[in-house]
Parts: sequence; structure tokens; C-alpha cells
Amino acid sequence: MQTNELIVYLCIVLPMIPVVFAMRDKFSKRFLLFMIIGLTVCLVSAQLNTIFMQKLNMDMLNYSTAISPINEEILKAIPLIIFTLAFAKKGDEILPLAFAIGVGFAILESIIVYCNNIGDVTVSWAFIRGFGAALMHCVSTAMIAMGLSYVFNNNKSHLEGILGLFSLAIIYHGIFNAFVQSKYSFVALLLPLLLFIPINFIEYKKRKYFEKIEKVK
Amino acid sequence: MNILLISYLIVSFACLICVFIGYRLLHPHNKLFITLCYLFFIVFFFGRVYEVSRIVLGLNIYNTFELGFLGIVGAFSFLLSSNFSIRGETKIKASKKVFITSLLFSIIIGLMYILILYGKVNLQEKITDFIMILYASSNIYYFMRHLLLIKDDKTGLLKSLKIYNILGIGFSILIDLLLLSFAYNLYDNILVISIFMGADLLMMMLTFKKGVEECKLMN
Repeated sequence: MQTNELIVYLCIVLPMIPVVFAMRDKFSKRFLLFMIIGLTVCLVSAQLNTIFMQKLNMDMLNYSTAISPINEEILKAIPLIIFTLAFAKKGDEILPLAFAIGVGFAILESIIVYCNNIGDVTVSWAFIRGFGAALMHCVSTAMIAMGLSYVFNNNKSHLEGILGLFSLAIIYHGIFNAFVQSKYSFVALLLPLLLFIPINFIEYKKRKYFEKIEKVK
Repeated sequence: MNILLISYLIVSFACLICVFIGYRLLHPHNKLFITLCYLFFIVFFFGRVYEVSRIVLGLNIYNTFELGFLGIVGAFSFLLSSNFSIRGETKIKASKKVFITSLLFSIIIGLMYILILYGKVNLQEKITDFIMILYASSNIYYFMRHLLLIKDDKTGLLKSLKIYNILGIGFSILIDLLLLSFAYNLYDNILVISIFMGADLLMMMLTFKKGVEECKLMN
């Protein structure tokens, strides 16, 4: 494991751990805990990416658009699947935690990329990376969370549907990675926004709809 | 401009139109199969956009592992899930004759894979092509089954989705032909297939939307 990455990871995570215990409500505790999980997943995936890239003998651009999205999306989904199977009581609990994993992952990933390119990065890079990557990781994890939430709420197993959402998340991640490294990096900033807004709108609409039904009942 | 880029752009544009036309299919009150069918268009759209992005950025899309095939697998996953939900919705038990006819039809189309094996494909492509053709054939089985069960369906759903099912078979066959064209480097064919695929997708969305509206299943 590279020492720099581990040091950055520890610097972010260690102050967060006592705060988890200090939080009063369950939601805040879980949210922070899942942010830490997101950071951890990023550290693990960074190590795996380094190993796979060497083994597959691929260049950075090809690897980040073809292999790393698969690796990262699977790793981000594992904690969510475990939570859904073992701890969740309501399907609605899953989506905010997916966002937490996405944010945690994006924070560490951006810092690692920054550490590797200290001389080359600019403030606009920070905007694209910080805003775009965070939203992208949130949205891609949220896609899987929406599927898990549906399965949980309806008590039906839709393996095909979950596989479809996995594919969607991976491709979306791949498109982002392709554009963020090109001269069209503004597309990478717009792409997550184009999906972040509809996902939240759909969730809002769904919530309102079910609230209306509850009232009628 | 690159023929492949034009082909992918045509399909992407058709999918984008489908996504806009069918936005109402995502309503939370709608039946699951409606949402799943809509997601099919979204995943397929993203898969094609991914291919476009790779070509635009000058990345290799021939004889290399890339995520474009996941767009097709993901789309077929949703379509299969949607077909499975329609099966649950209609609650018809298919006779042996229907089962065997649908299965045989899907296997015959699936045999196109043998032709792919004789083309210029590497091992990785052989595996991904097999997965895609397997999914296409599974969907063909369900589309065919739904077509054969129209008379037994009391809900009227299968009747209103008749053209959609025919177009679904057409789409699955077009995907098989696309893979076959790639295996033999017939790029001009890809352009023609893409034009047909774009038209097929648009028709699929329109007929599906009309079908569920006819059955008063949409909000």
C-alpha cells in the first residue's frame, strides 16, 4: 500500500471516528459511518486499480474508462448490499447512505489524484473534480441504491433489474472518466448534474405521491 | 466522419428521443414492467453514448475490452425483467406447444453465435458476444411467448403490446446482426443496421406507450 494514500486516508478518517459516537441521532451516525466506509472503499479500490493496471498492462486512459468503473462500482455497492440485507428496516434509508458512500469515495479519490499531479492542477480542475466527481460517485451509487430500495420495499427479488442498474452505473462512470481526462472536461461537470437533478426529482415525486396515498388512507 | 460514429450517433439520438417521449412511464404509480421498459431505453442510450465518447476521444473500440457491451447487457436485463413482470401480470400458464415453439425460435436465432465464432474475434469478444446473444435469445423467447399467448390473455395487455413484442424480436435480431457485422468487419452493414435499430427503438417506445395507455395502466 502506498504510504501517502494511507496517510491522507488516516488524516481524514481518524478525526471522524470519535464524531460518529458523539452523534445523537441514528441517521447522522449512519451517514458519517457510511462516509468513512466510502473513504475506505476508495483506498481499497485505489490499491486494486494499481495492481490490475500493472497486471493488465493498460495505459491510464484505457484502464480508467474500461476497468476501474467496474471495480469501483462493485466495491461501493458491497456495503450497501450488506446494509440492505442485514440492517435496513425501511427502503428509504438506503438512498442517503448511498450518497454518503459516494461523497466519501470522491473526497479521497480527488485528494489522491491531486497528490499525484500537484504541479499540474488548477482551481478549475478542483471545481470539475470536486463537484463533478462527487456528484458522479453519488449518482452512480444512488442508482444501485434505488434498485435495492425497490427490492427491499416490495420484498421481490429482481436480480435482472439490479444487474441492469449495475450496468447503468458502470457505463455512466465510464463516460465520466472518459470526459474528465479529455479536453471536453466541461461535459464531465454537466453529466452528473443532468442525472443528479432527475434522480432527486423522482425521489421527491415518489415521496410526495406516497405521502398523498398515506393521507387518503 | 467515421461510419461507426455516425451509426452510434443515430442510435443514441433515437434513444434520447425515446427517453423524452416516455418520461411519464417513470411515475411511481405505474406497474413495474412499465418502469423497467423505460430503463431499458435509458441504459441502451448510455451504452451508445459511451461508445460515442470513446470514438470522440480517440480510444480504441476494436478488439479491446470496453464497457459498451454492458450497455446492451444492461438494456437486455431490464427488458428481460420487464418481460418477466408482464408474464406475472397476465398470469397465464403457457402450454407445452407455446413453450417449445418460443424456445425453438429463440434457439434458432441464438445459433447465429456459431457464425460469430468463425469471424475475426478474439476470446474476450467471443465471451461478451455469447453473453449478449444469450440475453437477446432469452428476450426473444419471452416476446414470442407473449405473441403466442394473445388469445389466452383476458387482461388484453398482450394484445395491446402485440406490435411492441414484434418490434422487440426485431431489436434482438438487429443486435445479433450487429455483433455478426463486427465479427466480419462489415462496417457499412453496421450503418444500415443502426438506421433500422433507431427506427425500431422509436417504434418500440411509441407502441409500448400506446399499449399501456390502451390498458389504462399509465398515470
